[in-house]
Amino acid sequence: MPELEIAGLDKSFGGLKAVSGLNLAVEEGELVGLIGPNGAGKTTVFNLVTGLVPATSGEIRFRGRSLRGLAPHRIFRLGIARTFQNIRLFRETTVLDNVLVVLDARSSYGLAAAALRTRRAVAEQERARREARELLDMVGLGSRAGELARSLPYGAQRRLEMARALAGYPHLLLLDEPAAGMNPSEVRDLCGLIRDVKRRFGLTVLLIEHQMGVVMNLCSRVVVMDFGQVIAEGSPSDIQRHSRVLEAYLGKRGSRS
Amino acid sequence: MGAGWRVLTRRALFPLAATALYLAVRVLAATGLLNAYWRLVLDQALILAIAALGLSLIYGFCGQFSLGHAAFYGLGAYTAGLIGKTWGHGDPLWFVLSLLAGAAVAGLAAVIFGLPVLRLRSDYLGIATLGFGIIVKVLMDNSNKLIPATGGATGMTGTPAVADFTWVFGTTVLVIYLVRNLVHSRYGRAWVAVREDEVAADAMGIDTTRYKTVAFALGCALAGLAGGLYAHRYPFVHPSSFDFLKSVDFLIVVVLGGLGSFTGTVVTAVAWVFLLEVLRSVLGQAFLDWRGVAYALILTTVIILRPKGLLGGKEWAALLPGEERGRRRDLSA
Repeated sequence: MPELEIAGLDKSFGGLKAVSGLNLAVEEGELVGLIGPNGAGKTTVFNLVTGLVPATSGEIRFRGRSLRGLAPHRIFRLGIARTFQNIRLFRETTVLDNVLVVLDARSSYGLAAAALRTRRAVAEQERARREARELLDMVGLGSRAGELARSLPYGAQRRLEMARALAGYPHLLLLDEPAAGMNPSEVRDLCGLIRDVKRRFGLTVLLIEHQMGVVMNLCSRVVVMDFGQVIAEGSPSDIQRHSRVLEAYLGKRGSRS
Repeated sequence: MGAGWRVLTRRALFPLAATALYLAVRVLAATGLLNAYWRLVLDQALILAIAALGLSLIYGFCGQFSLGHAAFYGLGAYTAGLIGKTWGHGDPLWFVLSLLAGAAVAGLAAVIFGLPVLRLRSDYLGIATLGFGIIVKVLMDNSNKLIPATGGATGMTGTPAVADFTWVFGTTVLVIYLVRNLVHSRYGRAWVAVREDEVAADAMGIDTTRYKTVAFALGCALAGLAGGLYAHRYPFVHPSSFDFLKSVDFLIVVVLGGLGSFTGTVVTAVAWVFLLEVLRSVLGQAFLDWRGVAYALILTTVIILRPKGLLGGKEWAALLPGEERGRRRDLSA
C-alpha cells in the first residue's frame, strides 16, 4: 500500500481548474520531487492533502485511510506535516514556543492542572521543552531559542518551519519550496539537513522546488505537473530529457511565431 | 545553598508582594490617608482588572475581537446580585456561591453563543458580540417583567454590600495567579498560535475551534466573576453600567496594556480607573462632557508613542513563574 495515494483529484476555484484529474502515489520512504511551472497547481495539491482546502472531487488516501472531510489538525495528527511556501510562523512569539506549541499536543494535563500549575503539568512542560530544544539543535537554531520568530533571517525561518513540522513526528513531510530565497551555501546545508532528518525520522518526503539543483540532488523520483495534471514522471535524469517537460517550462518550439 | 535560597525567594516573591500591598492599603485606610472615596475607586480598579484580564485572554492572547465584554460582566452582576439579594443576606458562603454562579452563567452563555461563531475564521466574533451586548442590555432593561426583583430599567438595589477590600483584593490576586499559569501553559501557547496565524495553527495540529471556545468561555467567566464582585461592592446595579461604552472601556485597557501581556492589562486597568477619577476631580461637572475627548486623546497619544501598548507584549518579570523568569534570563545571556 502506498504511503500517499491520490486518485482522480479535482479542485476548481470558480472557473479555474487548479487541479484536474490528478493521480499520484508516493511509496513509504521515497523522496519525491514535485516540479512544474508557476500556477501548475503544486501548492494546491499540498493544501488539498493537508485539508486546508476541500477537494471538489476525487480521493486522497494516507496509509490506506481516506482523508476526506478531515480537519487540518486531524490530518496533522495522523502524521502529515508541512511547511509553507510563504513562511507562516507564529511571528510574535519565541523560536522555542513555535516548536513547543506543537509538542504540547502530546501533553495530557488539562485546563485545571494548567491553571493550578500542578507538579505533573510542570514536569510535562519541562519534558516538552527539552524535546523542543533537541529539535532546534537539529536544525541549527538551538542558540536562538529565546528570540522572536520574526527576528530570524529568512533561511533560519525556513529551518524553524521544518523543526515545527518535525515536532509532530510525522510519517509524511511536505516541503513547499524549502530552498526559496537561500544562497548556494545555505542550499547545500539544507539538502544535508533534509537527508539527515529523513533518515532520522524515517520520513517519506514530497518536495516542491524550483531550484533544479536541489531536486536533482535529493530526489529519487520526480513528478512534473502542468495545468493541474501530472505530465511526466521518472528519475531526475529522465525528466531532464523529457520533451513535454521542456515544453511546459520553455514553450513549444515555434508556438509564439 | 545560594541557588536553593534563590529558588525559594523567587517562589515567595508573588505571595510576599501581594501581602505587602494588601497590608499597605489596610494601614493607609486605618490612618485615614486613604479615605472611603478612594478606597471605592481602588476596588473599582481591581474589579475592572479582573474583567479586563478576561478580555486579555480572549483578544490579547487568542486574538478574538470582542465588542460585548460588558454584557458578560452584566450577566455576572445580575446573577450574583440576585442570589445575594434573595438568599444571601450578607452570608459569606452564599456570597462565594453567588460569585461562582455569576461566573458560570457568563461562561455558559459564552459557550452557547460562541460555538457557532468561533467555528469561523476572521472577525465575525466582533460583530456578533456587538449584537449580543445590545440584546443583553435590552433584556436587562425589561427583566423586571419576568423577575421583578431586578428592577428593570430603574436598576436593582438591595444586594448586600459584602465585598470589602479583602474580598476584592483576594479575588484579584487569585485571578492573576490563575491567568499567569494558564498563559504559560499549553493553553496559552495554543492561544497565541491561533492569534498569530490561525491557518498555520490548524495545519500544525491545534484544534483552533476548541482553543478559541475555551479562551472565550474562560474570559467571559472572569467578566462574570468581576460583575458579581461589583454587585456586592456597589449595591446599585443598573443596565447602563453594562452598555457598549463599558465594553469599549475593557477593550481600551487591553489594547493600551499591550496585546499578549497580562501584567500590562492589570497595570493599565488600575491606572485607567485612577486617571479617570483624577480627571473627574479636576474637571468636575465638565468631565461628563469631556470624557469622550479625554478617551480619544489618551488612546491616540499612547498608540503613537507606544504602538504595541504600554508593555508591548512583554511581561513584568516579577509576576512570571520561576522557571519562565530563569529561562528568559538564560536565553538573553
